[in-house]
Amino acid sequence: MASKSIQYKVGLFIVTTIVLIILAGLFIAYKKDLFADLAMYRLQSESGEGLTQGMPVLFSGFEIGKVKDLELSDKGQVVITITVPRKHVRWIREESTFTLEKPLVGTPRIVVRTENPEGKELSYNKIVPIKTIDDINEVIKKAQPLVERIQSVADNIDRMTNADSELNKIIADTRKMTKMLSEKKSLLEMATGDKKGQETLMKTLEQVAAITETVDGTMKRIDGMVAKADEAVLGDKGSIAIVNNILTDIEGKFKRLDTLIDNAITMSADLQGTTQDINLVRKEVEETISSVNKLIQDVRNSLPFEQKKEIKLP
Amino acid sequence: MNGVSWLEKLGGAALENWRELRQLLGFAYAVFRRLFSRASYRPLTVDILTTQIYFTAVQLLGFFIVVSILFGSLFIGMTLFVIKEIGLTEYIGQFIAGVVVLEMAPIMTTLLIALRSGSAINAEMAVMKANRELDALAAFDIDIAQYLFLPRIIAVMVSVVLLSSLFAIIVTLSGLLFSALIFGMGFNAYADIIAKAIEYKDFLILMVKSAAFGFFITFIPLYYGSRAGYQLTAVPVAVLRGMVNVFIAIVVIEVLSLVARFL
Amino acid sequence: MGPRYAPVSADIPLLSNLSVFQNIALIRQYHQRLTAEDSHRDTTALLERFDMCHLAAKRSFELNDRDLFFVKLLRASQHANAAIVIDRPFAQVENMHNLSPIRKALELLDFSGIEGIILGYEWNRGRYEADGQ
Repeated sequence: MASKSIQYKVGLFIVTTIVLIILAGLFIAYKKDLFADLAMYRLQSESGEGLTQGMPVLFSGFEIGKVKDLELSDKGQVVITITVPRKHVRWIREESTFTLEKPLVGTPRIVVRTENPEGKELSYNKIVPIKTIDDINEVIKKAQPLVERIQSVADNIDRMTNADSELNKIIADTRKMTKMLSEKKSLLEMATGDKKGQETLMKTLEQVAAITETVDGTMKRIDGMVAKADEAVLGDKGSIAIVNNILTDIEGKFKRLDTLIDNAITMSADLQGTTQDINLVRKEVEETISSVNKLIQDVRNSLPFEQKKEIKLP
Repeated sequence: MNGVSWLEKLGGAALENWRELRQLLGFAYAVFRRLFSRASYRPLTVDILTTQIYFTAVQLLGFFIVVSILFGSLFIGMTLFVIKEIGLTEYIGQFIAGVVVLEMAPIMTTLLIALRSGSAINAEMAVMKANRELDALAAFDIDIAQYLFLPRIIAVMVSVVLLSSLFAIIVTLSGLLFSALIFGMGFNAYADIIAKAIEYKDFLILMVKSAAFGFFITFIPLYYGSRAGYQLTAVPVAVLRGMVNVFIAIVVIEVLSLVARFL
Repeated sequence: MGPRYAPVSADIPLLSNLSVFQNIALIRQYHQRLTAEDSHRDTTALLERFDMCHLAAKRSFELNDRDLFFVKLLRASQHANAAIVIDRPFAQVENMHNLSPIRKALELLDFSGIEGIILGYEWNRGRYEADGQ
């Protein structure tokens, strides 16, 4: 029934598409090294956790092989067999290190590090231990204190939201108040009882708003002054700096005074003896002066124009 | 009283839908079984199959390739750009394998074929029913499931599988162009990334999913078309119901395949 | 399995998306699993015998009622081991006055051994019993 032309076109379409699919499949197989000659190596790990068959083996971020097999050895360790195509074998040397990396984002992988690709090739018979870097567990460890703090915050919130908590009491009171408010026209009316009072209060509130604005302005100016004062007091050339300088100066002077005082103490000890001698001389002088004073008094009394007649002799 | 009648309506509609679904699935199973029965196949089947593939895939091919190149390139270009912006460059391979090969290729192909051939098949069946041509086939002891359904279903299944694969190949190749433009990536590096990301099971999933799409986007129009009334006015109603159910089937298969993939 | 019938009826149309040739060939292709080549050979021979090759590529809507009737008859004849049931032939072909064209056709079909049934109305008895043409 179908014409020859239709049969031909359909045949061509089916064959071409199937050939394309097969070619794509073969190309992928080739790129996946399915036809490549593979070298096998063995690694060992304490645990098989995070290890899976088909897991990639990377060198410098480039996939060079795959985990082929996982086995449990007689010693209870996990033996990992990896396959690497011959063309990448130069990166698997005896001194190469193998690390199982479990990144926070992305799939786990085995990372190979080789310093010297010219070194001796790793033998299948040599089983190399593998290190593990576990990003997830690291993050969990770091996050632990944070989690504890969050836990305590959650506890506090729990306490706050408790039926008997202060917060709930406040909410209950607010409800009561709201109910009361809903029954009156306004809170002011409820408070003052008349509308005039309310108007007056509104005016007052407006004035308060104006005052608040003025106060705001003043506060801003004060802020400015405070900033300046800060600069004057705390700045590089401010009072504090000057006082500091003076204090340093005074400290130096005090040190010099200390030495002077020491000298004065020794001098005063010397002076003490001298002072006692002076006291004696002074007493003698005082007595002499007192005698002279009496003499003068007698002379005055003996003179005729003096009111007092009485003359006393020494 | 009102509540009860509303409930009755709801229950009645639910029962009706359930009955219809059971009939549809039962018939689908019967047709599916015939797919694997040798007795269903005769030279005539191959003949109709060839003609149907011609109408479904070959006639569409030029347009399909243009759509694949234009839409695929645009989509892949934009997405690769976004991938670069958010710094997930290492996931290009997974994106192309997971989104383009497994999701976009079958769904785009299916939508195109459902809109073009599914609706045509639906209308063809409804008209055959209205013209009593289905009765004519029955009068000559010709099983409509074997004569009408089977070759059309197989033809569309084959077409969807082949065209989906073609779409995946074309879009993956156009991804090469954009990788070179956006990431400065060479052919070898690109091929390596794609090859590493695509698994053989992806191919299998693509084939099975495309085949499932192909089955239902043909079976449902055939079923609803063949169940239309004898009046010509029943034709648009049958097409409407068939195509809505095709859409539902596409969504259900897509969801099931996603569930199967991530389980 | 019950008796098989091959109807020639106004209610059993030809398939509109198939040509005359394909409509006739379909029955044996399906039931006897003939290949396209075998079916082509047999159907061509049949059409030649009825001098209807010019109709082979036509669709049903392109045929007049007489051609349509005989194509249906040829189709019915392809159903092996089935009784041909002709439903009200005079209703299907307007300008047919008696059964002789049908008889001739059945002779050409080498129709033997299988029952042929013609269903019609009593008031057409005269036309059924008439000869000639």
